[in-house]
Amino acid sequence: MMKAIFAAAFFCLVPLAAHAAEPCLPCHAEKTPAAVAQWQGSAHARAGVGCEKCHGSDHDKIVKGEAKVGMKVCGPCHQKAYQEHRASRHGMGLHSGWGCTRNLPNRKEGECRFCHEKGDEIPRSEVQCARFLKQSPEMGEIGCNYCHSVEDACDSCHSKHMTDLKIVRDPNSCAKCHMGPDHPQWEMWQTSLHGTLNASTGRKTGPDCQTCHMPKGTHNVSIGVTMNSGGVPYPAAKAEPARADMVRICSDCHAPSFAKRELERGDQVRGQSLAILKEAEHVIWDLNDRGLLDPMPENRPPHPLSGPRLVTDSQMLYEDTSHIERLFFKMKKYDYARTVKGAYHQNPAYTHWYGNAELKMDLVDIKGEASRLKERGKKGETKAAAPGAEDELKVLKNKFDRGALSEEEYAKAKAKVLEKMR
Amino acid sequence: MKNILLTLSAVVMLFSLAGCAATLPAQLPAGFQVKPAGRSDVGAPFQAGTKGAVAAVAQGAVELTDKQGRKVRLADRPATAISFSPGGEKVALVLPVQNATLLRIVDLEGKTLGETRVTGKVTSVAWRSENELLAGVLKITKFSFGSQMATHLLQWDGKSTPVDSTIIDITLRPQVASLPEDVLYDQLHIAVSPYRDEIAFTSLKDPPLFAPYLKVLVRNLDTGGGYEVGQVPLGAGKVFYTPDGESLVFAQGVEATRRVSLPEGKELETWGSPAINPAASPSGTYLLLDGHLYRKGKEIASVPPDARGSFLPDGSGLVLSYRGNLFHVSGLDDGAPAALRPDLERVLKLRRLRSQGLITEQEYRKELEPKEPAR
Repeated sequence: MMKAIFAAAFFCLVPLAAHAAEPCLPCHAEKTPAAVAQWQGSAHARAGVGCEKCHGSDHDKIVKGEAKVGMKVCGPCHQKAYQEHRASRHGMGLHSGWGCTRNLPNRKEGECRFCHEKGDEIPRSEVQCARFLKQSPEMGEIGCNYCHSVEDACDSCHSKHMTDLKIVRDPNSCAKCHMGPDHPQWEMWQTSLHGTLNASTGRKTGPDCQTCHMPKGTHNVSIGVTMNSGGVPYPAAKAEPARADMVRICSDCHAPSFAKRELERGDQVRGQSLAILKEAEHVIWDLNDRGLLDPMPENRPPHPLSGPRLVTDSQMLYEDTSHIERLFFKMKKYDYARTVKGAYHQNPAYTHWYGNAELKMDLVDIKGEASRLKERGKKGETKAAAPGAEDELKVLKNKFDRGALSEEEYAKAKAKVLEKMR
Repeated sequence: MKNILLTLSAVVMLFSLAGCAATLPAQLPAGFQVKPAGRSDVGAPFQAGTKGAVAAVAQGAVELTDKQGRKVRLADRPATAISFSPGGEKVALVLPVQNATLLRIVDLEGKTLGETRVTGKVTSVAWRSENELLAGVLKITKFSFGSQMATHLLQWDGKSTPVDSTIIDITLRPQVASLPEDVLYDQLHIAVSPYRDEIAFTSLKDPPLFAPYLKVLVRNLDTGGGYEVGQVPLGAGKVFYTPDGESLVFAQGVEATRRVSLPEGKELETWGSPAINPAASPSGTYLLLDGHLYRKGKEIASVPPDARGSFLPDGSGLVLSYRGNLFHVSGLDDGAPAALRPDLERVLKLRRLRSQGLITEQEYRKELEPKEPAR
């Protein structure tokens, strides 16, 4: 009874909105009152944009979850935001794709929609993620695509039925994804001087995520960023204009020379950290060349995108891998990222103790594990004790492919192996 | 001489076979003889085995007819592919059943030596050795956005469970997935290299913005490594090796046929007939393309284009299937097939390395050159 009275009052108070949402409101005021109330208080309701405009009129489809309100629904009315979003890293197709889940065990048909639109065999983007392909459908949905669907989901930040900009201007809306061990930007910001000032004196003196990464309300969150999401620096042609943009943004509060110096210090920390990371990566590839990883790639479930090969790039896994690779995963995905992002976010503790110190200790661990594996290899516990010509040629090819041998050195070394084979 | 060779008697040979009139309109050079060799259902598979025996689908069953005309029933249902083992003592049959395919190996008396049930459609079978049968299997699964076509290779010893490898997995657009079956499944006809270490086959490619076509691929059976040799149009899915194992024959567009080198795919030879129902004699001297019989690159005879051929393993003859009847054409002078290199073990090792990209083609060729003796 109360609900009915509430619904009736609702219609009387907002006749325009009720008109826009006909014929959904009579039922939904009862079935999903929160959604109705949120919409009722939104700019959409005030502008006469009703349920059908975004959700369509096929109720069965809506109930089955097949009428997703994606970016193409919002785009026609919000052209500027749509274009800016598409141009940014948020719009580049971070959701998992290309590597198809269809051959994986126990998959659900619905997950095709992660990447495909109905009737379209081409995935929406060419992004591929090996770690996503190792997940169950349930983990893939909550653990991956709740963040990585941002490409096509305005509601990822804006919420579903509310339009209040207060929601998206709160750094907490970024924290849903930009937190945790792999990229704790939210925590870094919160515990930096910028975050402290923001908490104590407000946005004017203490900038937040949106101040620096969405200046003047742009939806292009990649403005001023000089590296990719894996921390690999952009080439100068792309990095230099981006740096100029960021210096301009910082200059709203700081002297440009100061901002430039601060960011350049971050670049130095990034370069030094990358060198430590590369040293560790080299140790692992050397073990792979000698057949000493335990287990070797060919003796474990194949990598979902690369098959039975060692992978240490952005597609590396933290499962079905060797112990030393797992150490490297932590080193790269967590500690390298924390060092670099900590430096750019002016957070001393993240840069040093959560980042750089861990990075250096990881290298110690990796070298220690490599020594143990080499020692074991000497005792003849692995096939590396007496590699055949084919194994030797594979090692050489690996080295050549990753640039450890020049073309000339590679040809010479191969000729030696073939000579031995005669 | 030319006259003798090209004195093509414009013959219409009429034969009487079990009360039915069997006719093979053909233009054959002097010295060729044609005899009826039994029946074969129109469009159904058949193959010539050793000693002149022919296995064919006739009246809904698989029959083996020997040179003396004795018939043995090999299966009570029609097969979609038939293949004699290299020694000619076993026959592999592909027998479709509901939603699956039976792979059966029988002896020449029709006794089942092995059988396995395969999910999907077996498009071809070929023997790698007397004890290893290869089968190409296509599995098509329909989704709302298109269909998934998975290409599998089965390696079967006739006893244990076949070893199943997925070799290709692609998405087909709905309009391609709904092509007629005789076009869609005209691919994955496995040809085994004379070295027995690799296979050649065709596989459908359906790029989103272009017309679908078939890729001609080579795959090393031990390493799984391989490469693409060329492309052919839909409906021209058959390829075969030349006896030296160094080149492949397949369609050149829809009008001609070509021979290309391996692994580069360089064109070496062309024939002006399309690669429709192609067959090659064991030494490679004769080639039957779309009813045109070539000898050493020169057309010497013609049979109707819808006549399909299978050369006898000893090269002495050709069995033709034409409108429900089989004909044995004798008088061919095939010669001995080119011998494989004597240092076979070494060649196989080098081919294995080449298939994995561990050595280049240049290095492969250099290693095959005879080494100068040390002074």
